[in-house]
Amino acid sequence: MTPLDETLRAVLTDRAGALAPASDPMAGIADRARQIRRWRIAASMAGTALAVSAVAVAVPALTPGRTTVRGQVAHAKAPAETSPVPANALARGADDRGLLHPLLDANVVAAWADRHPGEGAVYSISLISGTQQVTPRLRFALMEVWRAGGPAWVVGAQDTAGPNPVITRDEVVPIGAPLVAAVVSGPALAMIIAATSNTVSAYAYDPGDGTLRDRSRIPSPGDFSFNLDREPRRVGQDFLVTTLRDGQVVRVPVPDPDPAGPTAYPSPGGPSPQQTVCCG
Amino acid sequence: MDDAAHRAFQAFVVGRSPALLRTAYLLTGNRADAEDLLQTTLAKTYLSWQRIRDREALDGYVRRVMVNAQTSVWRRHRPEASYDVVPDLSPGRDAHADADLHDALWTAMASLPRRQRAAVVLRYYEDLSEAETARVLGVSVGTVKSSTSRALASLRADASLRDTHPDGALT
Repeated sequence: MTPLDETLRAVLTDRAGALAPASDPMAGIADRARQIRRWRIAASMAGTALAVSAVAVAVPALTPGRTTVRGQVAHAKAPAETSPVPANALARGADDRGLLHPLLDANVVAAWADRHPGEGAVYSISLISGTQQVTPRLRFALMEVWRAGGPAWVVGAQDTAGPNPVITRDEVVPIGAPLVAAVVSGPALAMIIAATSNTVSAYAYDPGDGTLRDRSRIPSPGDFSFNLDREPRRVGQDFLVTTLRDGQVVRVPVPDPDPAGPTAYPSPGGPSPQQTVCCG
Repeated sequence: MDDAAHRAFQAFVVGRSPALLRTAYLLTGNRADAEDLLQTTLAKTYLSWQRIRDREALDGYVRRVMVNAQTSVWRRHRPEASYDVVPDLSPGRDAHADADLHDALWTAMASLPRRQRAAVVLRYYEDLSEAETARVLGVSVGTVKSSTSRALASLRADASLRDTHPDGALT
Protein backbone atom coordinates (compact mmCIF):
# COMPACT_ATOMS: atom_id res chain seq x y z
CA MET A 1 0.00 0.00 0.00
CA THR A 2 1.43 3.35 -0.98
CA PRO A 3 1.63 6.37 1.29
CA LEU A 4 -1.15 7.96 -0.74
CA ASP A 5 -3.38 4.93 -0.24
CA GLU A 6 -2.88 5.09 3.51
CA THR A 7 -3.37 8.84 3.68
CA LEU A 8 -6.44 8.72 1.51
CA ARG A 9 -7.97 6.04 3.68
CA ALA A 10 -7.20 8.08 6.79
CA VAL A 11 -8.66 11.26 5.35
CA LEU A 12 -11.89 9.60 4.32
CA THR A 13 -12.26 7.84 7.65
CA ASP A 14 -11.56 11.01 9.61
CA ARG A 15 -13.93 13.16 7.60
CA ALA A 16 -16.73 10.65 7.72
CA GLY A 17 -16.17 9.86 11.38
CA ALA A 18 -16.55 13.49 12.38
CA LEU A 19 -20.03 13.65 10.92
CA ALA A 20 -22.91 13.70 13.38
CA PRO A 21 -25.82 11.40 12.45
CA ALA A 22 -29.17 12.83 11.43
CA SER A 23 -31.61 13.38 14.29
CA ASP A 24 -34.58 11.84 12.49
CA PRO A 25 -33.53 9.67 9.55
CA MET A 26 -37.13 8.87 8.61
CA ALA A 27 -38.07 12.51 8.21
CA GLY A 28 -39.06 13.47 4.71
CA ILE A 29 -38.63 10.07 3.10
CA ALA A 30 -42.31 9.53 2.36
CA ASP A 31 -42.68 13.04 0.92
CA ARG A 32 -39.57 12.59 -1.22
CA ALA A 33 -40.89 9.26 -2.44
CA ARG A 34 -44.13 10.91 -3.52
CA GLN A 35 -42.15 13.62 -5.32
CA ILE A 36 -40.10 11.03 -7.15
CA ARG A 37 -43.18 9.11 -8.09
CA ARG A 38 -44.93 12.22 -9.45
CA TRP A 39 -41.85 13.30 -11.37
CA ARG A 40 -41.46 9.87 -12.97
CA ILE A 41 -45.04 9.85 -14.17
CA ALA A 42 -44.91 13.42 -15.46
CA ALA A 43 -41.64 12.81 -17.28
CA SER A 44 -42.96 9.74 -19.03
CA MET A 45 -46.33 11.23 -19.93
CA ALA A 46 -44.64 14.14 -21.63
CA GLY A 47 -42.97 12.01 -24.23
CA THR A 48 -45.22 9.09 -25.01
CA ALA A 49 -46.91 9.34 -28.37
CA LEU A 50 -48.21 5.83 -28.79
CA ALA A 51 -51.62 4.67 -27.77
CA VAL A 52 -52.49 1.40 -26.19
CA SER A 53 -55.87 -0.18 -26.15
CA ALA A 54 -56.85 -3.61 -25.08
CA VAL A 55 -59.42 -6.21 -25.73
CA ALA A 56 -60.12 -9.29 -23.73
CA VAL A 57 -61.84 -12.44 -24.80
CA ALA A 58 -63.86 -14.56 -22.43
CA VAL A 59 -64.90 -18.14 -22.91
CA PRO A 60 -68.25 -17.68 -24.59
CA ALA A 61 -71.49 -19.22 -23.45
CA LEU A 62 -72.32 -21.18 -26.60
CA THR A 63 -75.81 -21.80 -27.76
CA PRO A 64 -76.11 -25.14 -29.53
CA GLY A 65 -77.56 -25.00 -33.00
CA ARG A 66 -77.19 -22.39 -35.65
CA THR A 67 -75.28 -19.20 -35.15
CA THR A 68 -75.36 -16.44 -37.71
CA VAL A 69 -72.01 -14.87 -38.29
CA ARG A 70 -71.01 -12.22 -40.74
CA GLY A 71 -73.06 -13.39 -43.62
CA GLN A 72 -72.41 -17.07 -42.95
CA VAL A 73 -74.72 -19.60 -41.43
CA ALA A 74 -72.75 -22.17 -39.57
CA HIS A 75 -73.32 -24.80 -37.00
CA ALA A 76 -71.86 -23.90 -33.69
CA LYS A 77 -70.24 -26.68 -31.77
CA ALA A 78 -72.04 -28.02 -28.75
CA PRO A 79 -70.76 -26.26 -25.71
CA ALA A 80 -68.03 -27.99 -23.85
CA GLU A 81 -68.17 -28.18 -20.13
CA THR A 82 -67.14 -24.73 -19.26
CA SER A 83 -64.81 -24.52 -16.36
CA PRO A 84 -63.79 -21.10 -15.25
CA VAL A 85 -60.26 -20.20 -16.17
CA PRO A 86 -58.32 -19.65 -12.99
CA ALA A 87 -57.47 -16.05 -12.40
CA ASN A 88 -53.78 -16.84 -12.57
CA ALA A 89 -53.99 -19.06 -15.63
CA LEU A 90 -51.66 -16.83 -17.56
CA ALA A 91 -49.53 -15.57 -14.71
CA ARG A 92 -45.95 -16.67 -14.90
CA GLY A 93 -44.45 -14.38 -12.36
CA ALA A 94 -41.24 -12.50 -12.24
CA ASP A 95 -39.35 -15.59 -11.21
CA ASP A 96 -40.04 -17.23 -14.56
CA ARG A 97 -38.26 -14.39 -16.19
CA GLY A 98 -35.12 -14.76 -14.19
CA LEU A 99 -33.90 -11.54 -12.73
CA LEU A 100 -36.41 -8.91 -11.83
CA HIS A 101 -38.00 -7.63 -14.97
CA PRO A 102 -37.56 -3.94 -15.74
CA LEU A 103 -41.31 -3.39 -15.84
CA LEU A 104 -41.84 -5.08 -12.50
CA ASP A 105 -40.32 -2.50 -10.27
CA ALA A 106 -41.37 0.19 -7.90
CA ASN A 107 -42.18 2.44 -10.84
CA VAL A 108 -45.04 0.18 -11.84
CA VAL A 109 -46.28 -0.19 -8.29
CA ALA A 110 -46.11 3.54 -7.71
CA ALA A 111 -47.71 4.39 -11.04
CA TRP A 112 -50.55 1.99 -10.37
CA ALA A 113 -51.17 3.48 -6.93
CA ASP A 114 -51.22 6.98 -8.37
CA ARG A 115 -53.58 6.02 -11.13
CA HIS A 116 -55.92 4.13 -8.86
CA PRO A 117 -56.06 6.04 -5.57
CA GLY A 118 -58.11 4.50 -2.85
CA GLU A 119 -57.80 0.98 -4.20
CA GLY A 120 -55.56 -0.11 -1.39
CA ALA A 121 -52.06 -1.43 -1.21
CA VAL A 122 -50.49 -3.25 -4.13
CA TYR A 123 -49.04 -6.55 -2.98
CA SER A 124 -47.44 -7.82 -6.13
CA ILE A 125 -47.36 -7.45 -9.84
CA SER A 126 -46.45 -10.35 -12.05
CA LEU A 127 -46.04 -10.71 -15.75
CA ILE A 128 -48.64 -12.50 -17.79
CA SER A 129 -46.82 -12.11 -21.06
CA GLY A 130 -43.31 -11.42 -22.16
CA THR A 131 -42.33 -7.84 -22.62
CA GLN A 132 -42.81 -6.56 -26.12
CA GLN A 133 -40.26 -3.98 -27.21
CA VAL A 134 -42.34 -2.13 -29.75
CA THR A 135 -40.01 0.74 -30.53
CA PRO A 136 -36.67 1.73 -29.02
CA ARG A 137 -38.69 3.84 -26.58
CA LEU A 138 -41.77 1.85 -25.90
CA ARG A 139 -42.29 -1.54 -24.41
CA PHE A 140 -45.28 -3.07 -22.82
CA ALA A 141 -46.56 -6.21 -21.24
CA LEU A 142 -49.62 -7.78 -19.77
CA MET A 143 -49.55 -8.03 -16.02
CA GLU A 144 -51.54 -9.30 -13.09
CA VAL A 145 -51.82 -6.88 -10.22
CA TRP A 146 -52.71 -8.21 -6.76
CA ARG A 147 -53.99 -5.47 -4.56
CA ALA A 148 -56.10 -5.03 -1.48
CA GLY A 149 -59.26 -4.80 -3.58
CA GLY A 150 -58.53 -8.02 -5.44
CA PRO A 151 -56.63 -9.03 -8.55
CA ALA A 152 -56.69 -7.16 -11.82
CA TRP A 153 -55.15 -7.74 -15.19
CA VAL A 154 -53.43 -4.79 -16.71
CA VAL A 155 -51.94 -3.83 -20.01
CA GLY A 156 -49.03 -1.58 -19.20
CA ALA A 157 -47.12 0.61 -21.61
CA GLN A 158 -43.76 1.94 -20.56
CA ASP A 159 -41.80 4.78 -22.06
CA THR A 160 -38.14 4.01 -21.60
CA ALA A 161 -36.88 7.35 -22.85
CA GLY A 162 -36.42 8.93 -19.46
CA PRO A 163 -33.91 8.08 -16.78
CA ASN A 164 -36.67 6.46 -14.76
CA PRO A 165 -39.04 4.75 -17.17
CA VAL A 166 -42.52 4.35 -15.81
CA ILE A 167 -45.74 2.86 -16.89
CA THR A 168 -47.57 5.38 -19.00
CA ARG A 169 -50.90 3.69 -19.42
CA ASP A 170 -52.68 0.83 -17.81
CA GLU A 171 -56.06 -0.68 -18.57
CA VAL A 172 -57.86 -3.25 -16.53
CA VAL A 173 -59.13 -6.27 -18.42
CA PRO A 174 -61.48 -9.02 -17.19
CA ILE A 175 -59.99 -11.70 -15.00
CA GLY A 176 -60.09 -15.22 -16.37
CA ALA A 177 -60.01 -14.46 -20.06
CA PRO A 178 -58.21 -17.10 -22.08
CA LEU A 179 -56.60 -14.36 -24.14
CA VAL A 180 -55.63 -10.80 -23.47
CA ALA A 181 -54.61 -8.64 -26.35
CA ALA A 182 -53.59 -5.08 -26.93
CA VAL A 183 -53.26 -2.88 -29.96
CA VAL A 184 -50.36 -0.49 -30.10
CA SER A 185 -50.35 2.18 -32.72
CA GLY A 186 -48.57 5.38 -33.54
CA PRO A 187 -46.78 7.03 -36.40
CA ALA A 188 -45.89 4.32 -38.87
CA LEU A 189 -46.72 1.63 -36.36
CA ALA A 190 -49.67 -0.59 -35.74
CA MET A 191 -49.42 -3.96 -34.16
CA ILE A 192 -51.29 -6.30 -31.95
CA ILE A 193 -49.83 -8.29 -29.13
CA ALA A 194 -51.48 -10.97 -27.10
CA ALA A 195 -50.90 -13.38 -24.29
CA THR A 196 -52.82 -16.61 -24.15
CA SER A 197 -53.64 -19.27 -21.63
CA ASN A 198 -53.37 -22.96 -22.32
CA THR A 199 -56.89 -22.96 -23.75
CA VAL A 200 -55.84 -21.26 -26.98
CA SER A 201 -54.20 -23.31 -29.69
CA ALA A 202 -54.10 -21.07 -32.77
CA TYR A 203 -54.84 -17.62 -34.02
CA ALA A 204 -55.39 -15.76 -37.26
CA TYR A 205 -56.28 -12.30 -38.40
CA ASP A 206 -59.22 -11.22 -40.51
CA PRO A 207 -58.42 -7.80 -42.01
CA GLY A 208 -62.09 -7.06 -42.42
CA ASP A 209 -62.72 -8.69 -45.77
CA GLY A 210 -63.44 -12.21 -44.54
CA THR A 211 -60.02 -13.57 -45.43
CA LEU A 212 -57.57 -14.94 -42.90
CA ARG A 213 -53.89 -14.25 -42.61
CA ASP A 214 -51.08 -14.59 -40.05
CA ARG A 215 -52.42 -18.02 -39.19
CA SER A 216 -50.29 -19.67 -36.59
CA ARG A 217 -50.37 -22.27 -33.90
CA ILE A 218 -48.96 -21.21 -30.57
CA PRO A 219 -47.57 -23.07 -27.59
CA SER A 220 -49.56 -23.00 -24.44
CA PRO A 221 -49.37 -20.67 -22.75
CA GLY A 222 -47.91 -18.32 -25.34
CA ASP A 223 -47.41 -14.83 -26.63
CA PHE A 224 -47.78 -13.54 -30.12
CA SER A 225 -47.73 -10.33 -32.05
CA PHE A 226 -48.02 -9.20 -35.61
CA ASN A 227 -48.19 -6.02 -37.59
CA LEU A 228 -51.54 -4.59 -38.51
CA ASP A 229 -50.20 -1.91 -40.76
CA ARG A 230 -50.58 -3.81 -43.99
CA GLU A 231 -53.10 -3.65 -46.77
CA PRO A 232 -55.77 -4.61 -46.95
CA ARG A 233 -57.13 -3.61 -43.59
CA ARG A 234 -60.52 -2.21 -42.78
CA VAL A 235 -60.06 -0.47 -39.49
CA GLY A 236 -63.02 -1.10 -37.25
CA GLN A 237 -64.07 -4.17 -39.23
CA ASP A 238 -61.12 -6.47 -38.61
CA PHE A 239 -60.99 -9.36 -36.19
CA LEU A 240 -58.57 -11.42 -34.18
CA VAL A 241 -59.66 -15.01 -34.66
CA THR A 242 -58.61 -17.47 -31.99
CA THR A 243 -59.14 -21.21 -31.86
CA LEU A 244 -59.52 -22.85 -28.49
CA ARG A 245 -58.29 -26.33 -27.78
CA ASP A 246 -61.81 -27.68 -27.47
CA GLY A 247 -62.47 -26.54 -31.03
CA GLN A 248 -64.33 -23.36 -30.28
CA VAL A 249 -63.41 -20.46 -32.49
CA VAL A 250 -63.78 -16.97 -31.21
CA ARG A 251 -63.65 -13.78 -33.28
CA VAL A 252 -62.85 -10.63 -31.42
CA PRO A 253 -63.08 -7.18 -32.99
CA VAL A 254 -59.75 -5.40 -33.12
CA PRO A 255 -60.32 -2.09 -31.40
CA ASP A 256 -59.54 1.27 -32.88
CA PRO A 257 -56.39 2.61 -31.28
CA ASP A 258 -58.16 5.52 -29.67
CA PRO A 259 -56.05 6.98 -26.92
CA ALA A 260 -59.01 8.90 -25.56
CA GLY A 261 -60.37 6.03 -23.59
CA PRO A 262 -60.33 2.32 -22.97
CA THR A 263 -62.02 -0.10 -25.29
CA ALA A 264 -65.17 -1.76 -24.02
CA TYR A 265 -64.38 -5.33 -23.15
CA PRO A 266 -66.72 -8.25 -23.55
CA SER A 267 -66.97 -9.68 -20.08
CA PRO A 268 -67.52 -13.30 -19.04
CA GLY A 269 -71.21 -13.95 -19.25
CA GLY A 270 -71.81 -10.87 -21.37
CA PRO A 271 -72.62 -10.68 -25.07
CA SER A 272 -70.75 -13.37 -26.97
CA PRO A 273 -68.41 -12.47 -29.79
CA GLN A 274 -69.41 -13.66 -33.21
CA GLN A 275 -68.25 -17.12 -34.01
CA THR A 276 -67.52 -19.06 -37.07
CA VAL A 277 -66.36 -22.54 -37.81
CA CYS A 278 -63.06 -22.05 -39.40
CA CYS A 279 -59.36 -22.22 -39.14
CA GLY A 280 -57.55 -24.35 -36.72
CA MET B 1 -46.81 -0.84 1.95
CA ASP B 2 -48.24 -2.96 4.76
CA ASP B 3 -47.38 -2.41 8.40
CA ALA B 4 -44.84 -5.21 8.63
CA ALA B 5 -42.95 -3.97 5.59
CA HIS B 6 -43.07 -0.42 6.88
CA ARG B 7 -41.64 -1.50 10.23
CA ALA B 8 -38.90 -3.43 8.49
CA PHE B 9 -38.04 -0.43 6.34
CA GLN B 10 -38.02 1.84 9.37
CA ALA B 11 -35.69 -0.52 11.21
CA PHE B 12 -33.39 -0.56 8.22
CA VAL B 13 -33.32 3.23 8.04
CA VAL B 14 -32.67 3.70 11.75
CA GLY B 15 -29.93 1.10 11.73
CA ARG B 16 -28.14 2.01 8.53
CA SER B 17 -28.68 5.72 7.97
CA PRO B 18 -25.66 6.87 10.02
CA ALA B 19 -23.32 4.82 7.85
CA LEU B 20 -25.16 5.75 4.67
CA LEU B 21 -24.96 9.44 5.58
CA ARG B 22 -21.21 9.13 5.98
CA THR B 23 -20.88 7.59 2.54
CA ALA B 24 -23.13 10.25 1.06
CA TYR B 25 -20.99 12.89 2.71
CA LEU B 26 -17.84 11.52 1.13
CA LEU B 27 -19.53 11.36 -2.25
CA THR B 28 -20.84 14.91 -2.14
CA GLY B 29 -18.35 16.74 0.03
CA ASN B 30 -20.79 18.65 2.21
CA ARG B 31 -23.47 17.82 4.74
CA ALA B 32 -26.39 19.55 3.06
CA ASP B 33 -25.92 17.68 -0.18
CA ALA B 34 -25.24 14.48 1.72
CA GLU B 35 -28.53 14.71 3.59
CA ASP B 36 -30.33 15.43 0.35
CA LEU B 37 -28.65 12.49 -1.38
CA LEU B 38 -29.44 10.21 1.53
CA GLN B 39 -33.10 11.21 1.56
CA THR B 40 -33.36 10.59 -2.19
CA THR B 41 -31.65 7.23 -1.81
CA LEU B 42 -33.91 6.11 1.01
CA ALA B 43 -37.00 7.36 -0.82
CA LYS B 44 -36.09 5.29 -3.88
CA THR B 45 -35.38 2.32 -1.64
CA TYR B 46 -38.76 2.84 0.01
CA LEU B 47 -40.46 2.73 -3.39
CA SER B 48 -38.72 -0.57 -4.16
CA TRP B 49 -38.86 -2.04 -0.68
CA GLN B 50 -41.48 -4.71 -1.19
CA ARG B 51 -39.84 -5.84 -4.39
CA ILE B 52 -36.42 -6.38 -2.85
CA ARG B 53 -36.34 -10.07 -2.04
CA ASP B 54 -32.72 -10.56 -1.08
CA ARG B 55 -32.20 -8.65 2.15
CA GLU B 56 -28.61 -9.83 2.26
CA ALA B 57 -27.94 -7.83 -0.88
CA LEU B 58 -29.73 -4.78 0.46
CA ASP B 59 -26.58 -2.79 1.22
CA GLY B 60 -25.28 -3.30 -2.29
CA TYR B 61 -28.63 -2.28 -3.73
CA VAL B 62 -28.77 0.89 -1.64
CA ARG B 63 -25.19 1.78 -2.54
CA ARG B 64 -26.07 1.44 -6.23
CA VAL B 65 -29.11 3.67 -5.77
CA MET B 66 -26.99 6.24 -3.95
CA VAL B 67 -24.22 6.32 -6.55
CA ASN B 68 -26.71 6.52 -9.39
CA ALA B 69 -28.63 9.28 -7.62
CA GLN B 70 -25.42 11.21 -7.13
CA THR B 71 -24.63 10.80 -10.80
CA SER B 72 -28.04 12.14 -11.80
CA VAL B 73 -27.53 15.12 -9.49
CA TRP B 74 -24.36 15.93 -11.34
CA ARG B 75 -26.02 15.41 -14.66
CA ARG B 76 -28.55 18.06 -13.81
CA HIS B 77 -25.62 20.46 -13.75
CA ARG B 78 -25.97 21.56 -10.22
CA PRO B 79 -23.29 23.98 -9.16
CA GLU B 80 -20.11 22.31 -8.02
CA ALA B 81 -20.58 21.45 -4.37
CA SER B 82 -18.26 23.07 -1.91
CA TYR B 83 -16.43 20.78 0.40
CA ASP B 84 -17.00 21.30 4.09
CA VAL B 85 -14.05 22.15 6.24
CA VAL B 86 -14.14 19.70 9.12
CA PRO B 87 -12.46 21.36 12.08
CA ASP B 88 -11.32 18.37 14.13
CA LEU B 89 -9.30 15.35 13.27
CA SER B 90 -9.38 12.15 15.21
CA PRO B 91 -7.69 12.39 18.58
CA GLY B 92 -4.13 11.21 18.72
CA ARG B 93 -3.20 12.52 15.32
CA ASP B 94 -0.48 15.05 14.85
CA ALA B 95 -2.60 18.02 13.82
CA HIS B 96 0.33 20.04 12.60
CA ALA B 97 1.89 17.29 10.55
CA ASP B 98 -1.26 15.93 8.96
CA ALA B 99 -3.79 18.73 8.93
CA ASP B 100 -2.46 20.55 5.89
CA LEU B 101 -2.06 17.34 3.95
CA HIS B 102 -5.49 16.06 4.90
CA ASP B 103 -7.13 19.36 4.05
CA ALA B 104 -5.33 19.46 0.73
CA LEU B 105 -6.29 15.90 -0.09
CA TRP B 106 -9.91 16.50 0.89
CA THR B 107 -10.01 19.60 -1.27
CA ALA B 108 -8.36 17.75 -4.15
CA MET B 109 -11.12 15.13 -3.97
CA ALA B 110 -13.59 17.84 -4.99
CA SER B 111 -11.99 18.17 -8.38
CA LEU B 112 -12.26 14.48 -9.23
CA PRO B 113 -14.88 13.47 -11.78
CA ARG B 114 -17.92 11.92 -10.11
CA ARG B 115 -17.19 8.34 -11.17
CA GLN B 116 -13.60 8.53 -10.01
CA ARG B 117 -14.65 10.00 -6.70
CA ALA B 118 -17.27 7.29 -6.24
CA ALA B 119 -14.66 4.63 -7.04
CA VAL B 120 -12.27 6.11 -4.48
CA VAL B 121 -14.94 6.26 -1.78
CA LEU B 122 -16.09 2.69 -2.43
CA ARG B 123 -12.55 1.28 -2.55
CA TYR B 124 -10.87 3.31 0.20
CA TYR B 125 -13.68 4.03 2.63
CA GLU B 126 -16.22 1.26 2.09
CA ASP B 127 -13.33 -1.17 1.51
CA LEU B 128 -15.11 -2.89 -1.31
CA SER B 129 -13.19 -5.14 -3.61
CA GLU B 130 -12.74 -4.21 -7.25
CA ALA B 131 -15.47 -6.66 -8.21
CA GLU B 132 -17.89 -5.32 -5.60
CA THR B 133 -17.12 -1.76 -6.66
CA ALA B 134 -17.75 -2.69 -10.28
CA ARG B 135 -21.16 -4.08 -9.37
CA VAL B 136 -22.13 -0.94 -7.49
CA LEU B 137 -20.97 1.35 -10.28
CA GLY B 138 -22.39 -0.84 -13.00
CA VAL B 139 -19.07 -1.01 -14.84
CA SER B 140 -16.39 -3.61 -15.50
CA VAL B 141 -13.59 -4.44 -13.10
CA GLY B 142 -11.17 -3.00 -15.65
CA THR B 143 -13.02 0.30 -15.55
CA VAL B 144 -12.83 0.33 -11.76
CA LYS B 145 -9.08 -0.23 -11.94
CA SER B 146 -8.54 2.50 -14.48
CA SER B 147 -10.86 4.96 -12.72
CA THR B 148 -9.12 4.41 -9.41
CA SER B 149 -5.71 4.68 -11.00
CA ARG B 150 -6.60 7.92 -12.75
CA ALA B 151 -8.08 9.33 -9.56
CA LEU B 152 -4.91 8.62 -7.60
CA ALA B 153 -2.78 10.06 -10.38
CA SER B 154 -4.89 13.23 -10.34
CA LEU B 155 -4.55 13.53 -6.59
CA ARG B 156 -0.79 13.08 -6.75
CA ALA B 157 -0.53 15.71 -9.44
CA ASP B 158 -2.80 18.15 -7.61
CA ALA B 159 -1.06 21.45 -7.13
CA SER B 160 -2.21 21.94 -3.57
CA LEU B 161 -0.87 18.55 -2.58
CA ARG B 162 2.45 19.24 -4.25
CA ASP B 163 2.67 22.49 -2.31
CA THR B 164 2.02 20.61 0.90
CA HIS B 165 4.48 17.86 0.17
CA PRO B 166 6.98 19.17 -2.36
CA ASP B 167 9.30 16.25 -1.74
CA GLY B 168 6.80 13.82 -3.25
CA ALA B 169 6.20 11.92 -0.04
CA LEU B 170 2.84 10.73 -1.28
CA THR B 171 4.17 8.92 -4.31
